[in-house]
Amino acid sequence: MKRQAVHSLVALALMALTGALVTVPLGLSEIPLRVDFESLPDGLPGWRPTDRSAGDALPPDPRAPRRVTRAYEREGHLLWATVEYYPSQDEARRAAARGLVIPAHGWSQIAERRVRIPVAAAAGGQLEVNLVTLERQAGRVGIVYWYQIAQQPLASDHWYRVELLYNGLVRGRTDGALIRVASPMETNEDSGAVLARHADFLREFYPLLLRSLPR
Amino acid sequence: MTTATADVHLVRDRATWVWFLPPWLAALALYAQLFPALVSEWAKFPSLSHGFAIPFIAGYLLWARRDLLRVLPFEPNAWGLPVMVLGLLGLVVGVRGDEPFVARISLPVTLFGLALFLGGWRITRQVWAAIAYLLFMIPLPWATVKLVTYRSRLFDADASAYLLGWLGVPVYQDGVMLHLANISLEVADDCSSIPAIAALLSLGVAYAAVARRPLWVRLVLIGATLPFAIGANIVRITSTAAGAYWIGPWTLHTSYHMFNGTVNFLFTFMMLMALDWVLSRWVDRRPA
Repeated sequence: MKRQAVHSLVALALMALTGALVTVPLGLSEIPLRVDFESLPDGLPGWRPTDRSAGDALPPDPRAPRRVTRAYEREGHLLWATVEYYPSQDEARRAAARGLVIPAHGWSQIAERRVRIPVAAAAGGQLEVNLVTLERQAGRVGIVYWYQIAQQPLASDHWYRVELLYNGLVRGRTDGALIRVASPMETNEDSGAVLARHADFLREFYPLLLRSLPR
Repeated sequence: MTTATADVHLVRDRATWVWFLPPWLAALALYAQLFPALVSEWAKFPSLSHGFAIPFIAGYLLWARRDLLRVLPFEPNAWGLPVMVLGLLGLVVGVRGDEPFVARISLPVTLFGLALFLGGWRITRQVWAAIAYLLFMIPLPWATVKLVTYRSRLFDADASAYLLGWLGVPVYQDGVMLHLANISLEVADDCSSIPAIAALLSLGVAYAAVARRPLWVRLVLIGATLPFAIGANIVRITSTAAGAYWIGPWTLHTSYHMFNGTVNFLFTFMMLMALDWVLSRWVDRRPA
């Protein structure tokens, strides 16, 4: 009887402690951008600004407090970049690429793979991203996307969540960004060609993006 | 024997329950905060609606062992403590870190730890199946489901294109697209077998749990549920595409295609029953 009572009291004490831990406020802070997205230039070396819209290939996340979209053109090839920034995230307001990149509005996803793009500004000189090919009757589009927590890029949806969890519990911050870059694919153009175009663009764009994002 | 049982009853009635029940009620109160969102997801997504049935089936699994649970003595075991701490830590991390999956998955862990810590091994051996069954009510993280669903769509499209060719239907497959001579079809998220797999797996486990069969037969039935669910879906996609080619695209608007979850459920259940029938006959005919 005595042993049962001891075990029961220990269990009750643990439950009470857990109840206290889940109710005490964490004090998460909102992390603002270092430099507002408006400072991102309309044109980049080799890329002219254009007012052609990406349409529904890059649907916006209405829950993102900060968002920027830029349209560029080079040698007849269009390219759009959109960055959504979340100063803090929770279940109701979180970057979720799979709901934004993966098809809707008649788009079908025909391929997805993870690739490394050589970008000098990225840690280790390479930027790991996801390359998604979408298709619908009007044509195909290649979309590159990844997450960014401060200066750290993350291609994996799951590692992004793990990092957010760690940051929230240990560092008291849950800021992050979702970056998507899309470019229509020519008829018979393969994903390698569109990836090369993305790589050329990101070599110019990524260092500017890092300047805006917090450390 | 009767006297001993009566004594155990007497002891529990008078004192043991006073120590045994409060931690369970405290755990229930602690985890209650997770249920409104969980129930809302069950109600919102048809592929998760089996979640409503899971607590009742888990309850039935406990009730089916009520005779043993009445007479087995409580033998508190310290090994339950680290398990319970792990579960409660999962709840704290999940709630504080806003990761509902982590918080939810900690519930069976906490309950298992509590059963062991308060009841001991003999009690835990009787209740672990009911506790583990609660896992089926917990939706996988959305990002995981989307990722696995995409892989499943590709696999389903590959297999269906192969079968269509074998049936003599000319098809060009491009990723998840199946281009037929008269129509292009997409193996969409809803066509994937993934959304229904949790429901079908819970069905297989429940079927195996209530079937009075040898353990190995029940394990085979549980193990067969997954390939059966995937196979049923591929048969459905292939036959839908073949129907659209041979009969006409209007067949895509028939209930066979529209109610894919029900069709898969029926296919899988029929195959499970057929396998059970074959295994049971084999067991019956086997010399003792």
